[in-house]
Amino acid sequence: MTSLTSIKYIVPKSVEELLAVIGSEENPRIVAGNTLLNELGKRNLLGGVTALIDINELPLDYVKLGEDSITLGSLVTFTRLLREDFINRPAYSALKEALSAVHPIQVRNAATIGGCIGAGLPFLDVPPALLCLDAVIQITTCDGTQTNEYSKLASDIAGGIPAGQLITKIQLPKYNDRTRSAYSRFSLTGMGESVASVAIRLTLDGSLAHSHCTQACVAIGGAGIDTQRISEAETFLTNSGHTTTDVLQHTSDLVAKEAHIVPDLNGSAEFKRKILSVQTKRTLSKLLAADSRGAKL
Amino acid sequence: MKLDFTLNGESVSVEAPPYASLLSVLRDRLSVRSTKQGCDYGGCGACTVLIDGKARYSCMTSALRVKRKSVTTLEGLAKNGVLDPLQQAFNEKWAAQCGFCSAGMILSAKALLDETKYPSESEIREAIVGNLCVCTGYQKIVEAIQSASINSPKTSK
Repeated sequence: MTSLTSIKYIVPKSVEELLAVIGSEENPRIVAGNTLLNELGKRNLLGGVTALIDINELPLDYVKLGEDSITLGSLVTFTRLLREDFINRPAYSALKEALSAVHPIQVRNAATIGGCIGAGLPFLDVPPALLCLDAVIQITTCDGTQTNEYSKLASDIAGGIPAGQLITKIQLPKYNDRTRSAYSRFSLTGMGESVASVAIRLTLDGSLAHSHCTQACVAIGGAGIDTQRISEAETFLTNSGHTTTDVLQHTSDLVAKEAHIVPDLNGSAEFKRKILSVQTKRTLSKLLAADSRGAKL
Repeated sequence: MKLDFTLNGESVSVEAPPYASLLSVLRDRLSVRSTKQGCDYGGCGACTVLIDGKARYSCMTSALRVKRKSVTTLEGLAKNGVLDPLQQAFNEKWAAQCGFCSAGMILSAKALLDETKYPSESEIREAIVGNLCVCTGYQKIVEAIQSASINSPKTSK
């Protein structure tokens, strides 16, 4: 076992330098926020790690607004993202609400968008919002760069992104003014982890109350081992025409039924299904309420 | 490893292992005792410090992350023996009971007031949501922050 005092601390300045370091070190560990490092060290859980690679000086702290997409460098913090103008558009409300659900300012100042994806923890707030916004994730390894839809990647990185892989950027599509999204979550305590969370994005033809949904995306977090999309609910919403109370109820029932749920200390499967149903209704109601207040679609 | 950073306006240089938290370096190697060790996993806020003006949990911050950065603890607020308006307000409003959370509370409030001169009550409560007061003296703390805000010089940031 490697002695803790012999661990190297390397701060690469470029992705190329980082990849060279990963290739040359026997057992490197990439760190960004470093929020768990002290805890791991104290518990002797860094055994075998030969080098800590601090990626904070990589040029990955940027937000770029393009013609068709918004690109986020993986080192963008929650605080910075909440100050971006695009986050206030109705299409990105789910992301804004998910970022705001991380209450301590101290955590928002440290947590990065790449870190919350790479952690692969189901109870985090931001991943379901990114999933419902059809985020595309770029991952760089020694073998090259891959770009994947988050919906296809989420289950693969449940429990944490494999060692030696680096999330470099996240792309969000640029949505038109007819798209809006919302996020709701439930936790047992004010600052507690999410027991069940729901993020929904709808693209509407006309107002929500008087027209139909042309595109829907429903993502959930907290309830299972990964962040999931509920395609049955998406299909139903897209095909159901006017958004009535019955549609809300049936969508909620579908989400509760189709979600892969794992019972844990926070609640039984039955409890989580009930909470998911309630959160789905609340999220859809939030979208309806925003529409009835005359918000631009 | 050698770590150079600015602590309360003064350059410091200290040896720190790669896995050391900023909290442990501040308390154990630099004898900064206002920064408290509470939960030690980012739940209580007693270890809050300002890093380049932003509130951060020092227990969750790797010490080596603050290389070449500016760290402010409660000791860095008073200037020439004159308390910061926030410290003064905490005194005047009796906003400290056991005092264990006070340093973290004041620094979280300092980060808020440096950005928002006259915050609303909800903004104040949002700013200190990551700081627990086990004595539950939140009302006095909020009043003290409001008081410091109202009494801050209109022309200064």
